[in-house]
Amino acid sequence: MILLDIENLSLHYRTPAGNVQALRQVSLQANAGEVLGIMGESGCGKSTLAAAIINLLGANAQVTGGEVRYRGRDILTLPVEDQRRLRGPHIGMIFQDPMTAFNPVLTIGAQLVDFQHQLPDPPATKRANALAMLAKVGIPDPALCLRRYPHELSGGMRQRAAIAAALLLQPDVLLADEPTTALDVTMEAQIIHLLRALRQDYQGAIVIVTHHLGVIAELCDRVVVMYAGQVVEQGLVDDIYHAPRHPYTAALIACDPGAISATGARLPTIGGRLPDLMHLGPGCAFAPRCSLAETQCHASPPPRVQVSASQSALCHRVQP
Amino acid sequence: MSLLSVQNLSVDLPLAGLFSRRQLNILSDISLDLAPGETLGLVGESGSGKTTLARAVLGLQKISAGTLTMNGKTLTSKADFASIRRSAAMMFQDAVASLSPRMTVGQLVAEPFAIHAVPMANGKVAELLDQVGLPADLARRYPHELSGGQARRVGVARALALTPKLVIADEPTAGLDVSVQAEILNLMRDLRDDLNLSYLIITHNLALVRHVADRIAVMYLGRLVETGPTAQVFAAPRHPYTASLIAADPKPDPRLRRADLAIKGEIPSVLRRPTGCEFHTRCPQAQSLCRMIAPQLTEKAPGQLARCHYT
Repeated sequence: MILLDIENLSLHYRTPAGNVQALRQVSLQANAGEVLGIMGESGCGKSTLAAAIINLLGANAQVTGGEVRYRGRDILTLPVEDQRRLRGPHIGMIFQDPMTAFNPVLTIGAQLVDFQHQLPDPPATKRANALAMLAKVGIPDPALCLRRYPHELSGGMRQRAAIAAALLLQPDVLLADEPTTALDVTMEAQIIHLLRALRQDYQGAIVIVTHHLGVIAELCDRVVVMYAGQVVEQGLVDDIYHAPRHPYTAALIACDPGAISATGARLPTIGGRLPDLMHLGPGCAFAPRCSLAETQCHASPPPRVQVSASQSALCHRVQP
Repeated sequence: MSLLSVQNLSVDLPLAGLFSRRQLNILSDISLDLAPGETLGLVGESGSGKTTLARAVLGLQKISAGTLTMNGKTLTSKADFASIRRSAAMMFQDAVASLSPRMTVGQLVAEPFAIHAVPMANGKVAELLDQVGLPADLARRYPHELSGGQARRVGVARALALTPKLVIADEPTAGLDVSVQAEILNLMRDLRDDLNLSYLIITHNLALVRHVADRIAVMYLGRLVETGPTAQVFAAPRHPYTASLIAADPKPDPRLRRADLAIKGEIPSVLRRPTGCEFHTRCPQAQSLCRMIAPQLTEKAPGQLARCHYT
């Protein structure tokens, strides 16, 4: 079942210097029971996309087309009150920095009870819910944790508490923006392990936004690759890593030092730089950096080529 | 002869409190050697003492015991450390925050000459920028106008300004995108080959270390737990902590997913160091001996030392 359906979403940021085309014709679906990865480098629009899904866009963001449908309803056109009611019980969010996700002057317990304000339960039940959820995310002494302030927890424990907060209202869509970026390797491995364990009995869709290719490879079933505000490729995780069809996906995966076991060799690079999102040319946005680019790549926008039932690429040079 | 030699270095910090005389042991009995042109990767979790060690080498952190030798000269006085900061440069972790927002790139790159009262040749700024692959006209820009990769390159240019022999790089690619990370690592490699630089790279990114370091030193709670040639350590780690770190690193390949958890728990506080082997609280192979007696750093294979009773 499709829980989240984004169709042709386009969005720009108004700046004094002009409009920045942050998202262009982005379409993707997240299904119940799957983990979807949104992969891309800084400036590709992945965080803007995450903000659009919960409609927490900045004041200078303007949606110029498309829809973000949650269970068939367009989130972007709902009244503000209805949007707010969606966040929490329907769409939960895990942020990158668990320190700033919590209020520093309230205890974890007070905040976890607060997050349930939409529920009719008495405070004691809410506290019990919070305690059970902290235990579920692997916090060793959940009763003590409820009495702690955010700064008293380590980074890994804070991120666990943040995951507990997001799961408290049992959302259908769990959105995680760079959930392990602020953590050590060992804590990162533990959070990945936790998210993987949680999905066993989770019926909803998990969407993970990250630039870390290792995290996506460990966690996701399906991957959407973004570049310069567009979805350039999507497919099953194994196909994306082992049979990428878009030249950008292939180049990105090739230059990750984690993928290269030989010591000492020079690392492959992509060369060039990201296009200026204020002044985009008529052709493929990746063409200036692409080793396969031909004249038509610079001249006309690339087609979306369906290479299999699950995989598609936005490229002139890909054959179906 | 080694360029930098650290012998039995310890760092203690006084515990906060007006009448407290308690000393907190941050680094303990660290010995390391770095040859000219060699790259040493220093790895460990947050709180393992990596950055404190780098600060101690530069004289930014008072040492309690041990000796530091640079180019055969033992460093003792403040003047010695002032001179080491001319031949050893630091690349800081947060590239943007380490650049003053009120100075232009040109002023920032020229700043080391002013600090050390070294005359600067005309055109030196442009030459340094060119060396790190930045256009000369960037000299008039301010740090907020730079991308993450450009800020990192400015940090490299500042480090290279006084032609150091040793560059200490604290998380040189943290926060960078994969493709930009590859560019910075290639740049560091080229500079090493051109200038015969030695690097001390501090990081928790194992993929990076495996790629650039000749030797690796693994730290846990302020102690070295394993050192050895990088390829050898990655192929056959002799300390369970090293093995866990390698196994925990997420591999960018969905076919190499780990089913189990490589390492449990968190690094303990230095306020409450475990008895015996300090890793025993998280070690999958710990036995009763480990809880009682602290193992010594012993040679397990040619050039590879580890602090473990059982491997």
